[in-house]
Formats: sequence, C-alpha cells, structure tokens
Amino acid sequence: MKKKMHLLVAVAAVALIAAAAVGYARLLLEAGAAFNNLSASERRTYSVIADGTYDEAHLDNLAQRPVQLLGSVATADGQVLFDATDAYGRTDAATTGLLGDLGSLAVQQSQYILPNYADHLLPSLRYNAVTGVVGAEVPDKLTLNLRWDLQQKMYQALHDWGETGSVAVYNYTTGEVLCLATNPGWQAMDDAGEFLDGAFINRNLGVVTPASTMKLVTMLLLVEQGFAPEELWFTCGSTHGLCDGNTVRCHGWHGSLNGVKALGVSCNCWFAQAIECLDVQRAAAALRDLGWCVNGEGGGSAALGRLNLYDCTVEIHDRWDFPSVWTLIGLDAGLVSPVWMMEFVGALAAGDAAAQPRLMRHELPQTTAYASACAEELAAVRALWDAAYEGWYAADGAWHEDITCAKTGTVDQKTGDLLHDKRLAGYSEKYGVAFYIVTYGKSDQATKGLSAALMEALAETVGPAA
Amino acid sequence: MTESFVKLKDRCFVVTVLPTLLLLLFQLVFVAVALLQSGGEVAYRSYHAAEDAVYTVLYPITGQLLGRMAVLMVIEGAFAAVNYRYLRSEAAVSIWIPMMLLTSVGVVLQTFLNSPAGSARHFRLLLLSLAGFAAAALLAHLVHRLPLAHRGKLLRWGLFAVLAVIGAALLVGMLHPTNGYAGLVGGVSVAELAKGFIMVYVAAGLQQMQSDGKLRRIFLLASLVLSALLAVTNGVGDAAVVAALAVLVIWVTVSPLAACGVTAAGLGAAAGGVLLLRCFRPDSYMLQRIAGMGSVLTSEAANAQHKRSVLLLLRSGMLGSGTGDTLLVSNTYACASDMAFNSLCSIFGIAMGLMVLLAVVALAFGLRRTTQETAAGGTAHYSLGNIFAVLLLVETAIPVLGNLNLLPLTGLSFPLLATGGSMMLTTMTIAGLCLGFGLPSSQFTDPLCVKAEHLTEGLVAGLTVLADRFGPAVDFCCALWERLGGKQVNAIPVDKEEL
Repeated sequence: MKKKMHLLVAVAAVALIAAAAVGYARLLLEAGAAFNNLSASERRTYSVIADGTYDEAHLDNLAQRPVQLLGSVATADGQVLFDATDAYGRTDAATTGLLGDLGSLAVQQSQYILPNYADHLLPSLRYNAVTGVVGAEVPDKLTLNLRWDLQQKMYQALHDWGETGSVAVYNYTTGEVLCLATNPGWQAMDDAGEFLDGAFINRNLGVVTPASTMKLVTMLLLVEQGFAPEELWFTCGSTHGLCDGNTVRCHGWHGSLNGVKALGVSCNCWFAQAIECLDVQRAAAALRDLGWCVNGEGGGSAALGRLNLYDCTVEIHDRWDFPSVWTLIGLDAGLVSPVWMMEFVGALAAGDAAAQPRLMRHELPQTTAYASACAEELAAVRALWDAAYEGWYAADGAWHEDITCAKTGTVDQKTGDLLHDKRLAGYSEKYGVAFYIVTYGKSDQATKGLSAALMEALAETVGPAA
Repeated sequence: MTESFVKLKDRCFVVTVLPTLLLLLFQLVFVAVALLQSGGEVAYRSYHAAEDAVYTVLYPITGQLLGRMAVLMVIEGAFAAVNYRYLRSEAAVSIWIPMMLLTSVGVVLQTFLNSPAGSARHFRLLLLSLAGFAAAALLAHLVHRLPLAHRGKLLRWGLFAVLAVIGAALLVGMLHPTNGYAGLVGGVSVAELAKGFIMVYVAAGLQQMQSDGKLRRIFLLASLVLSALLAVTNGVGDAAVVAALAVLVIWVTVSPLAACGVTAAGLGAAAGGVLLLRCFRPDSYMLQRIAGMGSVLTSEAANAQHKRSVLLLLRSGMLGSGTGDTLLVSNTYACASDMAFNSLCSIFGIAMGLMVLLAVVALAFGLRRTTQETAAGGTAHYSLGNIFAVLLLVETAIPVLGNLNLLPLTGLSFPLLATGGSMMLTTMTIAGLCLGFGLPSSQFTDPLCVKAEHLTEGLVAGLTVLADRFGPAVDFCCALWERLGGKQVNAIPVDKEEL
C-alpha cells in the first residue's frame, strides 16, 4: 500500500509537469496562426507590445494609448484626417461620420473608414515563440480620393445655406469620390431603436426618399420596355385616377405633353400614366438588375468600397395601384442611397464608360456594373434628360452654367408649406463629375445655391476635366 | 568563529536555515527586479462611476510591496529560528520553503495584477492563512495526542456537526447565490469551507475510517453529496477536488482497485451529467466552458477572456513582458484568480511558470515527507501525507491545465498564488495539518518547549473534558450510530504505534 501511494504522488507530479508542458507547447504551435487571424481590434490591442513600452503621457486614458505603429488616413490633397503617430486620431466637422472609432465596438461600424480599413492601418504582427510578438510591418498610409478643400467648401456651403443635408460628388470616369459632405451626420440607432450618443454617420451613406429624381430611373424602365418617352403623349389635368380609386396629384396643370416635357416640368400625371403602361414584373426585374431590393428581394451588394451602404428599396404590387405608382414617381415608401443615385447619374453621363464610385486611392477603378448591359437605354434617357434640362431648367437661367444636366426632387412636408426637403441629381461634363444633393426643410432655392457653390468649388479645387 | 564553524557543520543548521536564506535572497532579487522593471508604479484600469468612464491610473507600489515582503521575511526568519532552535524538523523545511516561495510570488503577482484594495485583501487573507497554518499544526498535534477513545467520540460528534454546517452553508449559498454561484456567503466560499472541514475530518479520522466501514461509508456518502451539490452550483473544480479526496480515501482505506473503480464511475457520472445538460440545457454556461476546451484560439465559442489571457501569455513569449507592461494583463477578467497562471507566465515568463509548478511538486513531496518522518505516525498518518500531496497536485493541475486550455475552466484557482475565495486558507490548513502530525513530541526537550508541552497537555485534557461534558450528545450520536449499524466506539482496533 505504501509503495503504491508513493508511486501515486510521483505519477501525479510527473503528470502535472508533463501536461503543463504539452499544453504550453500546443499553444505555442497555434500561436502564429492565432496572431495572424486576429480581428482588427484585437490586432490593435496586441500590437501595442511591439514597441515594448508605454508612453506614460498617455496613460491617463486607455483609449489614448500610443499606437505608433498605426498608419494614417489622408485625403487626396494631402490633408491628414487621422494620424496615429500624432494622436489617437482626430476628426472634425467636415469629416463627421466618416472615420469612426477604430477601438470602439459601437454599432454601425460597417459604415466607418477606420474599422473597415483597419488592416491598412494596423501592423502585421510577427511572432516568435521565444520573445513573443517581436515586431510588425509598418502599415500603409491610407489615402482617400476625397478632396479636403472641396469637402470643406461644400460643408461650409451647407452651413451658409443653413441646410441640414448632404452633398456627394464623384468623377464618373475615374470613379474617384471627391466629396461626401454632410451636415450633420445622422444619428445611429442600436438594435433596440435607441439613439446612440455621438454615433453620427455620414448622411451620404444612408438612404433618402428620392422624390422626383426617381423619375430618371422610371424613365429608364420605360425605355428598357421599348417605349419612346418623347413619343409618348398623355394629358395632365392636375390629377390622374388609378385602378384602386386613388388619385395621383400633380403640382400643376400641364395639358398634353410628352416624356421630354414631363421630365422638364416633373409632371406626376404623365409619369403615372406612363407607369401604368409598364409590365410590373419586367419593371421589378429591371430594378433588381440595377441593384435594387424590390419587394424584399434582390439588393444586398450596395457598398462604397468596404463601407456598407443601405440598399435602394421599392415596393411594387401586382397591379399599378397608388403605392406602386407613387413609389416610382419618387415618393411613398421607396428609398435610395445618395451614393447609388450619384453613380446612376454618372452612368447616364458616361454610359458604359461610367466607373463605380471608389473612396480609396488604392482601390482599382471598376465600371458600373449595369452600364454596359443597358448602355443604349442609358444613352436614350440621357438624351431625354438633356433635352428636358435645356428646355425647362437652363431656360430660366437660374442654374449654374457649368451644370450639364440636373433634376430636382421635392418631398412635401405639409400642404401649403414653403419649406421642403429637396433633392438634386446632376452632372457636369466640364468637371467630369456627377453629384447628388439632399437638403431638409429649407428653401427651394437651396439646391440651386448649393449646386452653384459646388460648381464654383470644383473650379477652384478640381478644375476642368482633361 | 569556531562556534560559527561548528554551526555550519551542524546538519540541522544547513538543512533548516540555509534554505530560508536562499529563499530570502530569491525574494529580495525578485522584488528588486520587479520594482526596477516597473519603475515602482503599476498601471491599472479604474472605473469611475460618477463619470461613467474608465481611466488608467498609475499607483505607486514600492512602499506596499516592500512592506508586505518585509512582513513575510520576518515571519520566514522567525519560523527558521524556531525550527532550528526548537523543532529541528527537516520535513518542516520541506513544507515551509516551497509554501513561502509560492506565497511570495503570489504577493508580487497580486500587487501588479490586482487593484490596491484587491492586493491588500490578498495579503490579509495570506496572514489569516498563515494563522490557519499554525492553528492547523497545533490542532493536528493535539488530535494526534488525544486518547483514541475520545478521538472516536469527537469524530462522530464532529461528523454530524460538520455535515450540518456544510449543508446549512450550501443551502444559504443556493438560496442567496452570489454572481450566479452558490459559492459565497458573506464573502466566504462555502466550497472552501466545506473542503476545509472535510480535510480536517480526514486528517483526524483517517485511521478510524480504516477500521470502521460505517464511518467510511458515511464520509464517502457525504463527500459524494457535497461533490454533487458543488457541481450543480457551478463549483465544478471544487466538486472535482472533493471527489478526488474521496477517491484517495478509498485508495487508502479500501484498495487502489476500488479507487480506480470509483474514479471510473465518477467520470461516467460526469459524462452522463454533460449529456443531460446537452439535452435539457444546451446553452448552459458549463457546456460553453467544455466546448471551449482545446480550442480557445480557434473556436468562436471560446471564452473571450480566456482567449485574451492565452494571447497575452503567447504575446510575451517565453521570456515574459516584465512588470513594466502589466496593464493589458491586469485588464483581463479574473487575471488574478482563475487566470493567475497565464498572467504569471505572461509577465514573468515560462521559467517562472515552471518554477511555481516545481514548487508545488516540492510542497507535495514535503507534505508526504512530513507525515513519514514522525516516529509516532502510523499507516494512517503516512497515508494522510500522500493523500494531501496528491490533492494539492490535483488542485494545481485543474486551474493550470484549464489556463493552458487542456481542461475546461472550472473556477478553481492556483493554490497560494491566486486570489481565489479562501483556497489559500485551506491549502495552508493542509500544510499545517501535515506539519502538526509530523512534529514528534520526543524533540520537545528545550525548557520553553517543555512549557509548550505542558500547555499542549492542558489543551488535550481540556478537549477530553469537553468530550466528556458533551457526554449526552455524544452518547446520543453513538446510540444513533450503533443503531445504524456502526461499531462500538471503544471497540475500534488501535494502531500499536498510536499507543
């Protein structure tokens, strides 16, 4: 018995040491792969060791721990938005809602630059079993296509006009996103619908009611189904009755008109009657081909580089009842992403040569996905739009001369109220840019003023296209 | 000079004092390096409720660390002097040195990982545990000298009392669980309390259990019930330790084969419990812990804090990150308790991890050596040392292998190193019990020791009177005992060596 007990103690002791050695060796074998597979925030945490010491000046707040090995984010014209060697990071009014917080786990991280491009900002950890994390590859400098000067000017213009809204501008031939100004960002909510303090997201990355700018899309649906809008004549008597007994109202009495004039005067009655000519299923399929989510199907691929965008959504029923028609006129439940609308305008302007918007300089240019498939239809709509703009917008001389084409949209807040939410989709061949402007609850003149300010800012910053 | 030379030649001096001097030297160097690396300050995350913000605060630690180590060193020096002057026990050294080595490493570790209040609590618990160590040694010595007839009476009386206290404490714990555990009542771990009682009981009654099958069965049944209660109240680690203790008692009092059979049955019951959990509570916390076993770095189901502690261990490599870089480690949940081994290796390197494991092994061998050394120790005392040695190794293996992801985390913390409930108290109680049994009275020849001997005899006499005074209660227990089929109290065969 004594011998067995003696043996038991010895066996237990040897087993303890041996098992600990095996456990530690096993972890060491997995360590290299484990450090390679860390998430961005984990990599940031464990990379701090690479420089070996803390800067005690930053020890008063953990969030300000020095992160010397992190890279920087700068705009195309050299303005540093985030520089980890200087400070933890800074953001200001003009870039609100774009950078985000690298260390934060707040919701809506998918729409911020820092967390989504963290692999460019964080070092690649190198692991050595003896000394642990021994060093790291210095990360790249992350350069945006954004123009800081243009961003600042448009942010200032939004302020000057007292507007809550956003301005998105991109070069439709190179895809470079030049401006994503917002004032202010929209406040993010958590899953329970509670507003998150300080979590503001760039409005350009959200979705808005398109209002009459949607009519450009509807015009494409008509062309795609073989209609020639310029030969399609309907009569506007300021109202038009639909199959479900509801009535589409127009803001004026336009009489007999074709598609060109209808686009120029933004006649709801003409578009309602034209929409009734469309095949519902084909229209839905065409919208899905454009990347839309129709009746809950399709979409899901909306993105600006690695930043997730909300899908453009629309509900179309089996027959052209009021909600379906009203949605394709641009109101009711349909929602569009300003970035998607900007790209769509770019596709109208450049046809199959149109490029997808790209925020980062290192991202390769890609053509707009649907542009080559419907290049002829896009060209036809552009011709209609050009004619409509020339005939009705440019004619009153109120729009800036550098604007090639534009289409306004109005979301009525209240009958008789002079303050409206406005939209403006347009492009300028002179500068090679497409833009989409959103304003909330201010004067009708705001979009004209903002578009003029945009053209002047482009002249001062980007200059005419080559 | 000549006298010193004579002392140096004295084997007792070399064996008892020299290890203490080496221990003191190690502690001085260890503390000096730790303070130099850290610059005398430790960064610790601190939550400020008023601002709802977390700040990293720098605490000066030089004074408190030096003060605590000075207290420990004085105690160590005093023990060495007493041992050399009076006890002259080599076995006591084999317990004391590894125990204090682990303890001092634990004090330094807690100073860098715990908040100032937390490390102060750890040190208070350490002083309490050292008092418990001394009390357990005295108790073991008294019980050892108690006439066997009275010991038998007290044991039976004590068994009912112990079971009542443990049951009541567990009931209170289950009715008022703290943080989901039925473990804490008024800050004292019920599991540790129960374990402590059972260990004392095993120490006092192992010899009786060898001859009294009924007493053994009652004890094993009580252990089984306690183990099951601990398991269902999330105290899986403590349940495993109590079960291991029961198995070891079976090993000693019945046969190794029976112990193996009970172990197999216990593992089968544990597997059955896991299957039942999978069927009825598939999202249980315990299953999550088991699911993370072996895959903490790769599984998404792994415990996030455990993964963090493993990554911090690996991040520092084999050499450790040093005490100048403890913020990330101390910011890991349970770094000072459940994850203490990973935290230690992360800061001081794997060499320190290996050293504390070897210290535990040395302590285990010290425990079994102590009870072997005494001439008065019979088979039971010999077995007791072995039982507690294996138990200590099991108690160490569960958290260490849990930390290294070979076992699920159980909530059990590294003995003497971690701040974990009252485990330090029970571990030192074990050490004290073994030491108490290992102190033969034949060496009490010094005049001071003669006084102590008289005091001991007085206490023994007091206990005897106490046992007699509670005669009716003891008689009732004995009657109940006999009715249940137990043997006559005075009919217990007596080990010759005991007489």
